[in-house]
Amino acid sequence: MTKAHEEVETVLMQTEDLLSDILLSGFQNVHDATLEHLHQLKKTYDSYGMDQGASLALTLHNELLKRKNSFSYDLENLMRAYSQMMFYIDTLIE
Amino acid sequence: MDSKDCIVIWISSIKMYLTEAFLVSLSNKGIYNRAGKDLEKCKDQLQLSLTEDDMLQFIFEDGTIVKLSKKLQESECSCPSQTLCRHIMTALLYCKNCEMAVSKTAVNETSVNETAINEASINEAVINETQINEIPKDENDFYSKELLELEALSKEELVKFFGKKTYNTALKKLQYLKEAAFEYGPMVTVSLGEEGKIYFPRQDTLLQAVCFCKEKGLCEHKLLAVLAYLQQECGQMLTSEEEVFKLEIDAITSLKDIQKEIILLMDKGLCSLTQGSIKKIETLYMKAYGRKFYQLANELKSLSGELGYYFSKNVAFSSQRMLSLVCRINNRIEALILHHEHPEKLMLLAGRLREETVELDTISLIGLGARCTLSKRQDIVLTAYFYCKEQEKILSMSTLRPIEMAYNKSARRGIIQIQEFVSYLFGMNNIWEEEFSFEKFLGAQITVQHGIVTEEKLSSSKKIKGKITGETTLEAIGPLIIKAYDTLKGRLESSDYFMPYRFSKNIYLIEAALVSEMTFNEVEQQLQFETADERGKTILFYLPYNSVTEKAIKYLENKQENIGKHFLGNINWKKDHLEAELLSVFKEGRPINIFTS
Repeated sequence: MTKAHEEVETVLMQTEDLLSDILLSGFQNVHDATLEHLHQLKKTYDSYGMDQGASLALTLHNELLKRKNSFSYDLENLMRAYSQMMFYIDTLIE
Repeated sequence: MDSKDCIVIWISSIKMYLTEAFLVSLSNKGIYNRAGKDLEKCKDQLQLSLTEDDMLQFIFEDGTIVKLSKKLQESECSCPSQTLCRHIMTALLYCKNCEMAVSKTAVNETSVNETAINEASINEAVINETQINEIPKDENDFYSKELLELEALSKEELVKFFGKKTYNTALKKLQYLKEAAFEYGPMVTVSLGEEGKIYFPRQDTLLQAVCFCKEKGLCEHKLLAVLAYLQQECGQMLTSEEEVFKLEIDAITSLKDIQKEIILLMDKGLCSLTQGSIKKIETLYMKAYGRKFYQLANELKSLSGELGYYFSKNVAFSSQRMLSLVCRINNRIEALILHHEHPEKLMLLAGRLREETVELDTISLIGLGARCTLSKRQDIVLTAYFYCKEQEKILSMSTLRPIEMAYNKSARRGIIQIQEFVSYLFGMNNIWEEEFSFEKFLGAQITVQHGIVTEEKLSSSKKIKGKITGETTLEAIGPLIIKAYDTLKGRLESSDYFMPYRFSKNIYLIEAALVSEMTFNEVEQQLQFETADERGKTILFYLPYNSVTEKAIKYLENKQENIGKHFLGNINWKKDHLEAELLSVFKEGRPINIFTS
């Protein structure tokens, strides 16, 4: 397996771990560190040219931020972003 | 026209039924022969007459009254018999002899009663006695191969007559049957393999068809014969009748309710949940099941199980599995709502209640070995693998015992007890009617009657009859063997996100040009070895360690020289290479039982 493949796989595993953390904490109690990590992952996806992954990471980040800091959040949109991120990772890992 | 002529004309109208083969199929050979003897005794005492409802009445010397109908199965007899009795058979034989006599008379006499026999039938009357019973091959051309009544039947009508379930099952069974044979005569005879024959008259074809199973109504064999005719002779493409799945508004509301609960669960987070959430998920599971969203119900059930592990701090809990489940449930609900107007997609997303079961009359199996493993709940599972020649696929048969049974007779609870129990399981005689053991048929060729197959799993029910016809040989398994691993690329089924996982989808028998040394991987806790084909492509085989596989692993490590170059494995792509869980090992074409050796 090439080095690039290994690096992408590492990023995908990190994303999965992050989603696992969100499962444990819940949407309403997401840590600032988790949000920061998600933001970093978005940049990583960008650097690898994985636009879809970057877009999903950004959407999830924004929805989580809304949930945490404002009253104008939509749980359905948030859950959709979260599940789509997981679907993306599942498909790529497969 | 006198009554005798009318009777002769009546008898001529059922001439096509008056063959020995057909009459025997109506009842059995014993009744046919008995009726023949009865006829010899009573033929001079029989009184015949035509009734007002166009039936031919026979009055026997003892007072028994038989009324023959042109639709033979509607014939009646005054005796207590519920089925076609010897009296009716005697009457039919009388008609047969009468018809033969009339035919001979037509040949011998120059003058012909024009109302009794028309000119066309004079030609037919030339045929002699043997020709009445057999349609000569060249005369088949005189009989049309068209059964217009059957050809006009639509799929909807067949489903209506036989029922959706019978129709779908018959269609599936048709795939595994050998080609049906058709004989075209005054009636069309369809032979379904070794089972028997079904006779279709040219008129009232379906309703007056006679089956070897003696069923008067519409039986599965008649449907099979009709489908075989439509497929083979008419070239029709037959499709199964799928249940049309519709999503009503209240079903969509139910789905949204389930989705809301899952979202609330995610919003709170696993750390904030209480044990009450398990019950909530179980309620959602029942809701989904009631709405026939079977896949969704299964996933909700798994989720409640996972939550149970979490709260009981069970080591089997996996946050990744739970994450995957929660997201898949949400994605499935979104997809169901999105595709609520597409029945086919809905069917796929909703899933089926149970896998389809097919009962096959006769199948030939080649034993490909057996393996023993532990399930997730630590039950001992014994699985034997067979190649089914008719289906051209690998089937499995399993038996399961709780591990506690291994300790029943012993105060000690160790690996030795488990291994003794595994040997006991292999030798236990409880498979099929003949009470075979796994040990007996893991390397045998077997013929099975009334085999029940659900997807790729063969039942071990006592209703099934098996017969060992030989041993598994290299020649027998030859067609299965994969020598070039490149060919696996196109064959390996990848898993579908919304479809349930199937273990048996990628089981293949491979040949190794080279086998590496078998070593135990301490980190992964499994035995590993590589096989290579002639082009150098490799497959990494592994056998995970547990209490039931310990003996097998020791055998493979120490006695590698005893093993041949053929291996049965469940093969999958792992990252960029092929990996296979070892299922069975062969030597000179015969499977070896490494679990008890």
